[in-house]
Parts: sequence; structure tokens; C-alpha cells
Amino acid sequence: MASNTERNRWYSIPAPVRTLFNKFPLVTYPENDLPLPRRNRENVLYVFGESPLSYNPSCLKWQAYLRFSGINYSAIASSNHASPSGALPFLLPSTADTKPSKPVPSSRLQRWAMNNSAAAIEESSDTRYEAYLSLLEHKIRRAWLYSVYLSANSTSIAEPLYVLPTSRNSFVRLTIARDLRCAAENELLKFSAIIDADLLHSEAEEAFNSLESLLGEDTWFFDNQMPGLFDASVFAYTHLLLDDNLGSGWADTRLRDTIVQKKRLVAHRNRILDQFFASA
Amino acid sequence: MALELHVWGPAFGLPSIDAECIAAVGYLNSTVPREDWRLVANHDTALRKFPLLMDGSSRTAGFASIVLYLRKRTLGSYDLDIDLNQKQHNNKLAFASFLESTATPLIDLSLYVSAENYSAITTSSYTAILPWYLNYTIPPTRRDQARIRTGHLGLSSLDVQLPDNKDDSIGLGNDFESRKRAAGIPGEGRTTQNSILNMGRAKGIGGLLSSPIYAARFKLDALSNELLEPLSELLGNKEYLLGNGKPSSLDCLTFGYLALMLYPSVPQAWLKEAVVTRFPRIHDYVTRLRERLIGNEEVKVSDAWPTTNLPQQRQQPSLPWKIQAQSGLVYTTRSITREILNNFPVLSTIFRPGTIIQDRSMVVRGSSSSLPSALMVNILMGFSAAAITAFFGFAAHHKRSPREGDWLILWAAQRPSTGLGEAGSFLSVFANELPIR
Repeated sequence: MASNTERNRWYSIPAPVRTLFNKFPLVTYPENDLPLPRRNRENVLYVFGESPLSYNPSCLKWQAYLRFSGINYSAIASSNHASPSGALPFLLPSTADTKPSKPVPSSRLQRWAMNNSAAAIEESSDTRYEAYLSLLEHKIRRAWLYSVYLSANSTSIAEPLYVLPTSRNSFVRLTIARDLRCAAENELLKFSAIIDADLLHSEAEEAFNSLESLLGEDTWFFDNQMPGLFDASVFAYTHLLLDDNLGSGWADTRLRDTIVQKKRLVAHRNRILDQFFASA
Repeated sequence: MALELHVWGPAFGLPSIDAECIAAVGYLNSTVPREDWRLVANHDTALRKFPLLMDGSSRTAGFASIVLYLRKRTLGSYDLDIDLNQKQHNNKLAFASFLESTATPLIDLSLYVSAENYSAITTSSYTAILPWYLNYTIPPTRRDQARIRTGHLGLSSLDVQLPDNKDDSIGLGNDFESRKRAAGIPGEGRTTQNSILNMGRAKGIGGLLSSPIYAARFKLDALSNELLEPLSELLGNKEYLLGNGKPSSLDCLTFGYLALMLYPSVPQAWLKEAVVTRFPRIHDYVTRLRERLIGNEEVKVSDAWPTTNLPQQRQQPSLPWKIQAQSGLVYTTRSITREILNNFPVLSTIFRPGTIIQDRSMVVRGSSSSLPSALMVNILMGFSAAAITAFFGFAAHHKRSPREGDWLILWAAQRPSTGLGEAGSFLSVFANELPIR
């Protein structure tokens, strides 16, 4: 008994705190229903953004590619946290039975589309394919990251698109805006000790020049009969850069100005928009 | 005034330890006459980025920018790419970016991420070219960057320091082996373990192939193929990549990256093996480039920092190294202070210079953010800090000189639910329990 009081002295909760916590819970919410096993009648692609065309280049690329492959899907706005791989987009294929289908992350989307499409797209076997793809994924992507997240566009594009929809709390928004900036900065610092805006923009301009002359007078890149993944990748950037109403408009128009003058790339973008996204 | 090219110091018999620096040295060496430029082995972290070309007061950093600067400055006489047509020019751009994006991770893996190579070769090379205090910061920083760059490849198993196999005399069989070795009898242990006969004896061929070192090897081979196949196809049977019978800036850049794959004598030489065995044409090409761009002579650290003061004993180095005076005490102290400040956890956020160079001449359409501005946040933080300080100050004061019947608690106790609502009922909990005298 003595030891019991001894222990109580050590572990006892102060009386006011106990009375305080006895008042909890203040509110008890009703229970949520269990999620019903739902049948996926169509393929669902989870992307950034509500509108038919996503405002995120990597999502838009896969949206375009699935359209090229003739695969029907419905796009649903989502966030990175929903994705099994941690990055959007990902696709939930349609299933006939109630068993949930396995999500397809973006890294395996191309193979999935090839296996599930009636008219599978042959990718070009041109030796320059990889090299020119690296122009897009390296030079243009880096300029895009700078332009959207670090330049003046961060308040006119990144903020309304990526920050404001996440929360209504100003402090949460501030934190997310800061995280976004830091993530973009770290991504750019991976390959260079300093982030030089002029250099990034001029490299992107050179890259667009190269792509423009690579396209030449052809309808699609590498003289293919049908647009492929490369066309989708180019379209993802050109379309967003040419979109006047992205977010609340471009504040820093340097990257956008470089693409506006590229007549063939603009025509290429319009061609895709007319042929594959006419209903959108 | 002569051009000065500042680079990271020489290593592995190459003019620099960094790919872009090697490329820049090769470019200048094959365009600019020897008496018009000087090569400086530098390690000043305040300069931020190497290769750095100093021409009087103007500074240009990065290989591509240097090439561009030389082209503009001399109107073509120091330009290797002057004969390229539009298509070749596009290919040059595309492959330069391709090299940067695919060869960088390979070199990262080979020289920095792989624990064995890093500790055996890379660190000692850095020790030779950096002053002692920078050896604590620069190599680990570069290794961390390499890890970040290659993180998505899932090859961190290279990072594991494998236990030294000579010492693993645990278990009966090994004990037997080691005794046999000790007695001078050739055992079947280390010497024959990798032979074809013993392949997969313990775990079966599947087990052998799925062991981390082999699993990693498959991935590494795939990665090096990703770089070398397109490059080899572009090269074809030509002498140089773009086929003008003379090297271009792309060849210089390719040499920078491939030289770091071929010439360091690392213990885990998978990258070198991949080039030599599967792409002999590329191997020949790199050898040819070396002769053309920097000469076959091994670059020694002593070329950049002569250890002896007798100039007549020194051979004339193949590159125009500018001999630097030993750095003074003031310079060293300043550098050490800067390194400490830049790497100290909290201080670094204040002292480290910003990494973003904004556009210099830019007209920006005004756009207003709907987030609370930095000023608002600072005001709020200031008020909160003031309030917290005031509260604790009051508490401390109260503890030192307690007064009878504190007004706050009395007030809360007397009016439990009128003015304060929920908070009032909370406060009343405290009030009820407090001995009010």
C-alpha cells in the first residue's frame, strides 16, 4: 500500500488537468461508412487539376499519350499523396469484377498502354531519340521549374494551381508554398552549384530551336505516321507555355516568349489540340 | 590580357577531377595558342563554380558558357564549332544535354557512391588537390550530391562497405580454409572463389545472380548501355562524333565525361569494363581524343603545385599551368572561417550566399499573392514572441514575489461562464482547484 501511494505520487496527474481532460471528447462525430467495393467501369487517370487538360507537364504528357493510343479514360483531380509511387499521374485500369485493379504508376504507363491499346504506338528507333528527349527532360524541364516555381510566376501560376487548392489555412498555405520553392530549388541545384536564370532560359531557347528544326516540315516528330511519346512530351510543355490562362496568367513571360515565335512547334501543338482534344 | 581558366585540380593523370573542367581544358588547349592562356588549379569555394574562365574582369562559368564566350569574344577564331551545319549544331546541343543527364549519374556511381571506389581512389585524389581544411567539406558534399542525383536509380547497395573478405573466418569451413592458407597450402578460398566452376555453388545460380553485387551489376550495365549505345551509334565509323574530320565542342565534353570513366584505376571497374569490352570503338575514340586534346602525357599534381623549388629539374608540363604562390596565412584563415560558417547547421542559413541569380533586366507584370506577405508573418511572429516573453516574464516575476489573490485567476473564478464561454469553463476548472486565500 505504501509503495502504491509512492507510485501514485510519481505518476499522479494534477487534479486540474484531470478535470480538464475529463471534459474530452468535446464533440463525437458520426462514424464514416466503409468504402463500398466499387466497380471501375472505365480507366481512371489521377492527375493534377480539374479541367480536361492537366496543368502539370508530366500529367499532361500521359493524358496526351493515352489519347494517342486510343485509350479512353476519365481524369480525376488528385494529389501526390494519393499516388502509390508518390508522384502523379497514375492510372486505375477498369475491371470487370469487383476486385480492385492494381494502379499503374507513370513509369509503367507506356508499357500498359501498349498492351491495352488496339493500335499500339511504335516508338521511333532513331538514334537521336534519347538525346533529343534529354533536351526536353533536362534543359526545358529545368527552365520550366525555374519559371513556374522560382520566378515571378510563382505567385501567378504555382500559387493558384498548387498552393491555394490544398488548404484554406494561411499558415498551411505558406508552408506548402515554401516547400514547393525549396523542392524546385533543390531539383535545380542537383546539376549545378548555382541557379542562373539567364543561363536556364537561354539553354531552353536553344533546346526549343533544336526541337523546331528537328520537327522540320514533318507532321509528327521523327517523321512518324502517328504521334508518339515524344510528341506527347513536347506537347506537355508547349501547350502549357502557350496557354494564356494558366493559373492567373504569366507574370514572367521569358520562357513563354521563346516558344511563341516557334511557328512549327505552335502548329504541332494546335494540331494535337484539334485532333485529340477537340471535345475537351 | 591572357585568358585564365580556373579548374578543380588534376587527378587520375587527367587535368582535372571534374568532367566539365576536363572538357574546358581540352577545348582551350586545342583552340587557344599556348601563350594566350593559363591554367589555374583552384579550390576557392567563393568562386562557386568551375570551370571558370577569367578574361580581365569578366568571368564565365560552365563549359557551355565558356564555349559561347570564346566564340563571341574572338569572332570565330577560337571556335571549334564554326563549320557545323544546322543539323550538326542541333545534334551537338541534344547530345551535350544527353551526356549531362546520363553520364553524370554514371560517374557519380563509379567515383562517389560506390564506397569502395570512393575510399580507395576519390578521397585520396581530393587530398592531393585540396588544402587540408577543404578535405572535410568538399568531398563529402560532392558525395552527398552524387547520392541525391542517383537516389532514384535504387543502387544504394553500392554504398555499402563490403566487409573485408580476408578476415571473415567465422564458421568451420572458413576456419579450415584460413588454416590451410596459413600453412601455405593453396586452398580453394579467395583465389578460386570467383572461378567459373564455383559459380553459384552455395546458393545456386539464381541465388548468386540475385546477390546485391550482381543485381547491381545488371542495373549498372543497363545504365551504361543507355549512354554508350546512342553515343556509339552517333560515332559510327567516323573519327569524331559530328564527322567534320576535326573535334567539336561536343567531342571535348564527351572526352571530359568518358575520361573520368576510363582513366581512374578504381577497384570496382565495371564502368571501364563496360566501355572497353562492349564498346571498343568508343575506347579507341577516347584514346584518340586524349592525344588530340590534352596530349598523352599524364598530368601530375606537381604540374599545378610544384613541390620542389628547383625549376630546372622540372619538365615543361604539357599544359600551360600557372604556378601559384603558396597561399598565405590570412587567406587560409579566411577560407577556414568561411568553410566553418557555411557548414555550421544554423549559421549556414545566414552566411551561405544565395544560390539563385535572378534575371538582370526583366520587366515583370505585377502579380499579387493571396498568401500573407512576409511582412505580415514577421509582424505576427514578433507579436507572438513578445507575448510569450511577456508571459514568462510575468510568471517569473510572480514566482519571485507572489501576491495575494491574483487578479487573473480571481476574475476567471468569479465569472466562470459569462464572458469567456468554453474558455471560461476551462479556466474555472483551474480556479476551482487553486487555493484562493
